[in-house]
Amino acid sequence: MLKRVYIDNFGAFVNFELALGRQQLILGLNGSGKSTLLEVLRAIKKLVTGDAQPDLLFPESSRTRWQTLTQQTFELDVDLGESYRFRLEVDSPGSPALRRIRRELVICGAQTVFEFVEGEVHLFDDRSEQKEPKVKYPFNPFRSALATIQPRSDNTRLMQFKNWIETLYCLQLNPHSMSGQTAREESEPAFDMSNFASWYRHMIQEQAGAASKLQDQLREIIPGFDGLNISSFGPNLRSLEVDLAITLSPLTTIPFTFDELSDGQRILICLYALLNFVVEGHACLFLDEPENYIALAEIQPWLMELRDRIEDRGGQVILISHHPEIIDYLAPEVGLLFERDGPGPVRVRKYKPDESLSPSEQIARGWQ
Amino acid sequence: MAARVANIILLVEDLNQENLLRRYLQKLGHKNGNMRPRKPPMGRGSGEQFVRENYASEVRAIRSQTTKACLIAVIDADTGSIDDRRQQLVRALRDAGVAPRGPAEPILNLIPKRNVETWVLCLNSKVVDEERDYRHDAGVDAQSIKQAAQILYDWTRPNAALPDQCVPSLRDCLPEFGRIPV
Repeated sequence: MLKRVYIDNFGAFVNFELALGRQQLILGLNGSGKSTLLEVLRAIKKLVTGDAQPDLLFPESSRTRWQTLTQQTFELDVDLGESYRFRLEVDSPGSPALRRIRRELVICGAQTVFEFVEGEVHLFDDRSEQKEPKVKYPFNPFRSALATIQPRSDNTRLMQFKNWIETLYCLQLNPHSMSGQTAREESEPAFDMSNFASWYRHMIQEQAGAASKLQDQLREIIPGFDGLNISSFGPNLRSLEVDLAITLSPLTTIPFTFDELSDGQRILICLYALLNFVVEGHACLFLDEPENYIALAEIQPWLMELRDRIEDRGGQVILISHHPEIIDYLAPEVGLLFERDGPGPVRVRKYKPDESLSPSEQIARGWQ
Repeated sequence: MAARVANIILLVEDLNQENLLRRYLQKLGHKNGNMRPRKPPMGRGSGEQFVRENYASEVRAIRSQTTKACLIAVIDADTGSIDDRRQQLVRALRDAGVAPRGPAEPILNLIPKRNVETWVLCLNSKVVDEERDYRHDAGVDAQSIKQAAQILYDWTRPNAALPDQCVPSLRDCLPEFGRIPV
């Protein structure tokens, strides 16, 4: 579980600290930093999984405008049975355009299990309590050294953190970018789930039981839903299709391509797919405005399923929402409010319920 | 199939009450999509007031439904008596000009004493005292509530034998569960 996020000198985040529980709802006005938080977490994940380099993820322009400090600092505290701290420092010692990693550090318990500092990698035997690195070697500071570490018998604790970060998802679903066609399996959902068909194609191979449960749930949710299938229409090309029963006489089932579904139906399928494939164990899912496009009557049942899933299977879900249905259901127990004074730094505090107004009404009035 | 409809309304004071009932209803085969929890927006403290104030309108609403709908109202007795709470609900209907609850009507009045956490602990085989406040007891969490729902299901089955530790308020309310439409 991700327990704490620390961000300094990124956008409006200055010396910013966020404590998280298993389920949270992040509230706040437009521009209060909610989506930027996801941007930071996505960037950290991309860096550590080797998908992109610091100058793209943490460009000079991402620094806090009113600060002269060049270094950006990020920390993630994670509980995976053992407590971990990941710390990343990015700076630009010469040209501002050259953003480099000054330091990457992973601490497990009280022991450093990985460090990459000033261009030198320090590897440790994380089976022992030894404080001195076992190996040191130079490395390019314009890439993540952590991303290059492969599993070995002496770095299982470090790899546990690396494996966890692959289960950190920061998503903002967009039905308009989703295609029903897939040329290959993809193990990672895109941030907007534009690759849903390819991801689903992968997940039904990896988690057949969860795929079956997903189909059962969709039968209860989408009128006429009969099945979600991958059909071949060329070499390696597949199409994601939804079989819908049409009330004719006799009852007829017709396959529709995923693209032919409504925006809301596509989002509902994605939300329940995330619930079944992602929410478990130590995985952490951030979802920005999940309620977009879906009918009012579908929101609370999904939230209830989500709560049950977390209680039954573990996992962590952080929602960002402006929707009164979500706010009223979750804010009293798990609401966190992001706020800023004008263009100043982001602050966060626990949402405090009003004695007479619903949370959504309180927020609509700006009385929070 | 048609679009799903919420036909079980849960009028509750807080999340623990909601979770116990939802988990119990799931044991009976009901789905989350058929339940509609309504709990006070302002968090615990004024929960009983929320249930009392919304009880009559919810009774009126479910009676107006052509489909079979059910209302489950949960209100802690707190430091008062179960009968006081029961009379408050009766008065709430009378003051709103709503007819009293019929003997087999699908309207459940569940009144845990002292609060729902007392029931959760009792259902988890703990010996509890209905005068004591267990709201912040460490033994009440998501897992113990889930377990309590399973035991509640067992205790509400026909011919169930109740153990001695079953507190009077729960024993008193068990017949109410028979009002849930099958």
